[in-house]
Amino acid sequence: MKSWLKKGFSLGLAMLICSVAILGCTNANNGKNNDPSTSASPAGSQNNASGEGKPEEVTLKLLVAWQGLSFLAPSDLANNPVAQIIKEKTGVTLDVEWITIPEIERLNLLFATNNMPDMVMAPYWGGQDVHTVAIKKAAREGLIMPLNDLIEKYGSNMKDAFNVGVASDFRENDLEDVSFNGERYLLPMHTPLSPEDTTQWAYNVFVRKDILEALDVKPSDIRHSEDLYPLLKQIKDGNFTDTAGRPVIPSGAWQNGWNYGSMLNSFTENNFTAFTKIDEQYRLGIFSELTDKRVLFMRKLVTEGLFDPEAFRQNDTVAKEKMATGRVAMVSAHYPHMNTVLSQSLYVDHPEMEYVPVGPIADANGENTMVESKVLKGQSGVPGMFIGADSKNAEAAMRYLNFINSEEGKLLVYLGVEGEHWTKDAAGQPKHTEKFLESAKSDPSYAVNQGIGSVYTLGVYGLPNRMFQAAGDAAQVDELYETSKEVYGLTVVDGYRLSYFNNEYPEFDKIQTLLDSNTQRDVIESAYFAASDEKALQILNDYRNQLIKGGVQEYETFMNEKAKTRDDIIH
Amino acid sequence: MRLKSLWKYKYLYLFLFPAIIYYFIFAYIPMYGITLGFKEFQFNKSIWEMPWAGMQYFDQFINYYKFWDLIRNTLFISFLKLLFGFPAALGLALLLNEIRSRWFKRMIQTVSYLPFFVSWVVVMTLFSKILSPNAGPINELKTKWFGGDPIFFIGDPSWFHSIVVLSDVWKHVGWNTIIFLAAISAINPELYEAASMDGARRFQRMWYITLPSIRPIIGIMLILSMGGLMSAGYEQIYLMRQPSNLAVSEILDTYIIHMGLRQGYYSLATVAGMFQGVVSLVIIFAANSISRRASGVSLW
Amino acid sequence: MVYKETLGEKWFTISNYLFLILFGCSTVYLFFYILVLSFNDGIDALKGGIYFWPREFTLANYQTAFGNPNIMSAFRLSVLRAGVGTFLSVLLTSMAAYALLRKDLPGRKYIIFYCFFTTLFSGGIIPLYMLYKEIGLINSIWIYIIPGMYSFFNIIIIRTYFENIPHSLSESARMDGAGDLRIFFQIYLPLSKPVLATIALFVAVAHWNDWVTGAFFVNNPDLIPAATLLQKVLAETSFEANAMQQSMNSDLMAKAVSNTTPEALRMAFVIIVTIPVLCVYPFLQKYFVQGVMIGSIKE
Repeated sequence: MKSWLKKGFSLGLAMLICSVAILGCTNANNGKNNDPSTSASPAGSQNNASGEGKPEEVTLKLLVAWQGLSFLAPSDLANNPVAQIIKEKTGVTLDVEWITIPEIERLNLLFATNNMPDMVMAPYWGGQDVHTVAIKKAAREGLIMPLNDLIEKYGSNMKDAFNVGVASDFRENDLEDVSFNGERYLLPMHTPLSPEDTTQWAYNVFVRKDILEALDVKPSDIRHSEDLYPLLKQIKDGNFTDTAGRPVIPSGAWQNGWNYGSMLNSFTENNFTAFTKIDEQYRLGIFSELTDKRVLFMRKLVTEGLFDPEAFRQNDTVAKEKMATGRVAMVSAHYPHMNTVLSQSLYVDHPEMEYVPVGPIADANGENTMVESKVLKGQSGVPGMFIGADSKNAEAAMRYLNFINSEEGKLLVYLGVEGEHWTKDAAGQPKHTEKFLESAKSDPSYAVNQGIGSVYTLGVYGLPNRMFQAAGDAAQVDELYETSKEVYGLTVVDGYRLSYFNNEYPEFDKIQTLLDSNTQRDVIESAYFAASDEKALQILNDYRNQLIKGGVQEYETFMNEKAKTRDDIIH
Repeated sequence: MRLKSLWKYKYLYLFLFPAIIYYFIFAYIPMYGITLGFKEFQFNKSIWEMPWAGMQYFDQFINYYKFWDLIRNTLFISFLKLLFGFPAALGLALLLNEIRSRWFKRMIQTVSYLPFFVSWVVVMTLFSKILSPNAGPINELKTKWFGGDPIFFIGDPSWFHSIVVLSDVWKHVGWNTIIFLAAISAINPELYEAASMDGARRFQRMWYITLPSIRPIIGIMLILSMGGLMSAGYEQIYLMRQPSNLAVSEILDTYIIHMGLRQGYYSLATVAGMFQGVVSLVIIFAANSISRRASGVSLW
Repeated sequence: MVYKETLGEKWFTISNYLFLILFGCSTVYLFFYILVLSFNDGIDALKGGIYFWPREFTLANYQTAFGNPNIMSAFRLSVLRAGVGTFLSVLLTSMAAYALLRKDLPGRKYIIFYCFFTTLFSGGIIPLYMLYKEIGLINSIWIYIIPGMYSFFNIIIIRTYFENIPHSLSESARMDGAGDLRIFFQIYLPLSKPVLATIALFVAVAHWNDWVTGAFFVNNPDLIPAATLLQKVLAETSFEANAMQQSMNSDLMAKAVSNTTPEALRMAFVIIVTIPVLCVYPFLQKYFVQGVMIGSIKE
């Protein structure tokens, strides 16, 4: 008797799963059936910008070597409205591969086995970044298609791709690497049209508004990291609670310790490289006194229970759980993250617990800068596209890229089909149609399934901020976002980063593992937990000695020599 | 005469044939990748063609200033896991065997291996919540009964090993028991009957019948486990790494994955992996010989 | 067989039951907790405090998992590989185990070492990939079956079990003129149900849980198993993916994409991945009954 009971139970569970599965499937199917095949193209006009006859039909294989982007895939890759127009204009249909393994592994597999699709989209962060190194290697070894010629012939819109929105030293060293002999291999994408078009992240130290009010502290009272210490003590002694009645944690962070460094801003220089200037000489930042001060201050916070010890390595969910109930009084991050997570959770029932930025907290040089508030003129690393050297469809690929970078193409891939999804208003500005807005509201994946803002945006460069802010939801200005941006403002710097001389240091391989930033982070953070200040400094000094033993001083000497060869060095 | 015995065993060789081919193709052929540890990694050249780098990476690995720490931490953790996990699995099998009620036995057996299927990410998240210094249940009890500050268990080097071993044993014991249960079920029940008629008590039956009957399986499992001592479990340890416990939580596995995958120092990672293999080989040889001499049970 | 239990033995029985009940409760509760969270809205779950019942019931987590258009083919594939792969593997492995039984087989030591050595050293992903490419296994369904055919561990386990089967059986069969082939199929296999069931379970579960093969060696989305697909869905909800979404520069995009949190999704996955095993295991348990060999010895 018992065995049929067990079998019945198993069967029941299996049925439950199946029914949920069916429910889920119908949902997906609804997504497909919701798009009637539209007569998408505007009546007959603007046929073939290239002026030839109907372009030859080609299927391009695109590998998106970037984890987690598969949300960009429309449910019907071949027949969604945007794809249809692209096919009409360029003859191109996309065949996309997404990945589930780390990008660098996929790239290595790609290059080592010479299994290249037509186009590949990959990270290209510049300098010693693993992806950049791999791609450059592959380019030098003939695995990637050189682009100059193709751009000449088919890519008139792409000529600016290497200049727009990229930092000059990045371009010099990574896009136009000396070893490329004037050739170019990687097309930057999603670059901003100008530095002001970059998303301003508004990194700040945020504190719960109601706690500040209860303690009668004004956000602008905080001018220095040291000012945070008494505030945190007051918070700890103030018996504040979260929404569930638990005592508040004075300060903490999001996942993996992000971004507690903002609290230590007064002991930081917010440099672009790992270097700092000590007595007119360039030295690695780890050797400066500031590091000592920073470590000791943080250690004080940790040992006195003013900073959450779990925060350094907690995962995303644990972090969100603490924030969703307002449990952490002070936290650092950039505004969009704070807003996205908290507006869906904490602020819904407790708008009085809104987090506001405190500061500005002056940096070690006495200036009001913060992470990402001092930026380079242009991106120092980009997502990029390259074409496989063996691709038989290189022409078609360039024509495709050329099209999506045209005025017409950009509107298409970001906003959709004119007339159907958007129209031009009186001032000639694009505006979403009612139909689009309603459909988008009821089905979150409507836009992507129509092909809008989906995989076809990969490859577009030079984007204005708030890409074609198509009014529909009228320009809603987020007050708090603006305030957060104003705390540190935006400082744009141009120059040649010292770190680029790493490429020229012959022994760099050997010391690279020593200078590994993760290792350094481990050392510094373990010092926070040392039993005493002396022991903490001991940890730092041991590490410094290891570096010196490993030959770091020769490296520094080399860099100082190199620095003299240019007059636009920044660090 | 040699050929005669080969023919005598023709079917046995036939049975072995696919295995030999299989291992040759899928294991030995790709093994040339190990030479990567001594070469400079280049894309457009096959591994055969890449230039030799000599012992450079090997030196780098051996001279890494934390080299001995890595080895020590790795061995200590894996040894503890074996020390507690093995008897736990065996013990659970024996305990289950003593249950007379068949449905209870089956029920417990089924639920005991549930944690095996739950990924470490979920298990460690749960553990870290229970042990959290921010009003986690254990700390709440502790401060209520014993007073004092909450303890950050996971970050504390002195608690680290206990938590690692406890969570590992709990997660795997049910699954590891299955093998032992299968072996126990092969024991002839008549042996038990005869023994109890001779007056053997329950523990005597366990000691003189059950255990000896499954001695071969115990021995083999032990030897095979020895081969795994050089690896202490990447996923679990990675999730438990905290800045405050790095002195004990840095192990070979995290080093290899970090150096190889994240940073792209492939040759270095390959050398380290090879090192793991060589040491494991030596350990298994030793374990196998000892076992053969002591109990007749051995791999070959 | 009736005898009086001593007091000590009674205590042992009671504590045994108690201990097992406690242990069982801890593992069941883990699973139950995951089940509850999988049916709870992800954002609501962030607030904590859910222990025994979903507070905001939702099927959204399962819908996200199953809403993927490839999910059905993925499950079909997983079941197929678990079925075919297990059958082939168990058969071949037990054949190899049988062959290695007799210590007087010439070359036995070397063969065992030859197989064992491969468990310690591996050339890495890239040589494997190139090998599979040469053979044509990339993007083929056989990639899921052939490379997983043998496991040294399984061979040895089965062999150890075989060693327990009394020699007298095969001796008498040989005297009746039976060769190795018949002895294997007619004597050893039928008597080894516990170990075969065990190994079958191990192999099937390994197939079911393997997401790596599909991620590295297959690009065709119609040819990936459930485990890889679920991994893909999880990657879409990670923090990094969310950051990418935010920088994709579109208002509509930022909120649009997922109505679940990675954690809630993960809970749903655990359930999805474990339930089939739970359904299958009871059918295997009957092989773990004691005394499977009694009947044969009388023979």
